Amino acid sequence: MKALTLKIKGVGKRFRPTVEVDGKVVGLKKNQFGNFEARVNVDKDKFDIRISRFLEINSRLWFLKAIFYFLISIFGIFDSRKEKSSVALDCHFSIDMSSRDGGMVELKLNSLRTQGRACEITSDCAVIENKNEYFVDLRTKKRIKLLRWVKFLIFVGSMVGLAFIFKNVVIG
Amino acid sequence: MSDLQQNEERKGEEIVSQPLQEEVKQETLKEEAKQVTLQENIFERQTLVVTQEVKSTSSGHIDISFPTGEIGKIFSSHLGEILSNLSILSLIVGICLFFSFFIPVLYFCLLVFLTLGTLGSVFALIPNFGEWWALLPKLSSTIGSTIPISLWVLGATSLLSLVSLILMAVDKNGRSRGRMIVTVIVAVLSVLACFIVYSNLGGMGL
Repeated sequence: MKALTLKIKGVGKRFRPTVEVDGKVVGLKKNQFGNFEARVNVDKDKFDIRISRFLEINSRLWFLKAIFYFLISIFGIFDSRKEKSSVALDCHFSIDMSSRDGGMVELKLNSLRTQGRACEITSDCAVIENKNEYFVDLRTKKRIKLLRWVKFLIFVGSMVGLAFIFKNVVIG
Repeated sequence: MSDLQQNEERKGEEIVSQPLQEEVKQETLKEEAKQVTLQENIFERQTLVVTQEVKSTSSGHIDISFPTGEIGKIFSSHLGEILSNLSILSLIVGICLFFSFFIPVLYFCLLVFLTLGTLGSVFALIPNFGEWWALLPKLSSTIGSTIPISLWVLGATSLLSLVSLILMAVDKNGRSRGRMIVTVIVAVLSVLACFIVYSNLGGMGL
């Protein structure tokens, strides 16, 4: 068993990184400085690390959740976590820890943008950078657009409904 | 062959093999250098592939596996934040409702100011100014009925803020310390306001 310490720095307030080591999701903990940390025990000398961004809009029951948030926050007025950015990141590194008992990998994320390098990596192990990019997630973009229309329709529909109720019940 | 002759031949072989060994060493060093340059080239190729992949995936989508528990925590913290915002709003509404008993007083002060300020000529300038005075008892009775509502609103505020605190505390990675402090302050204020309103209502016999 070899212990790997993984640190992710420069994570924004609304940024939820996910880390997979050889396809298995690793639990991350936030430290006192607002950076994410994980300690992973690995059997192999060489393994892959994949870091990506989790967006709530890509999770299961996303539509129902979004509508629920919209309604409970009074047409989104009191919702502080509106999803506006469809930028995702895909970082894929191969790490070689042969002839070592443990190691440390530190990732410093660059600011969110539609394309370009996602992070800078520093490590005391041998690292091969397979993928390191920011990109626009088309599915997320489509969903954000769809939600915008649905929310608009709900807002207009409820305003018309309220006006109808006001006219017939309160005045009439 | 005698032993001496054999030894001499060996020495001769060693003398011949030393430059050969050096050549071999140099060759191996050259080979290693070649391998390093090759590896560098491979790395360059890899980076080239990465840039090509960036272009190809720049409009794609990647399926991310995320623990279900974590998704639940994110959901609860998101809901907690919305409830926290609503609790701030309801605290403001509750306090405004409670202090609405000032409205008839303010209205009365305005009428007195207008009457004294214009030395009574306001009655001549505004023909129905007397009706303005007649509105005062109506306003007082209407406003008086809103004060018990403020108790319910403030109660709801304390409940909302407590629920939002619990929901936000679930998600250790996503919670905001500043927001939690604000929610605690809202909860404390709403409970205090509840006591004040309740004691006032008792005093008014409502």
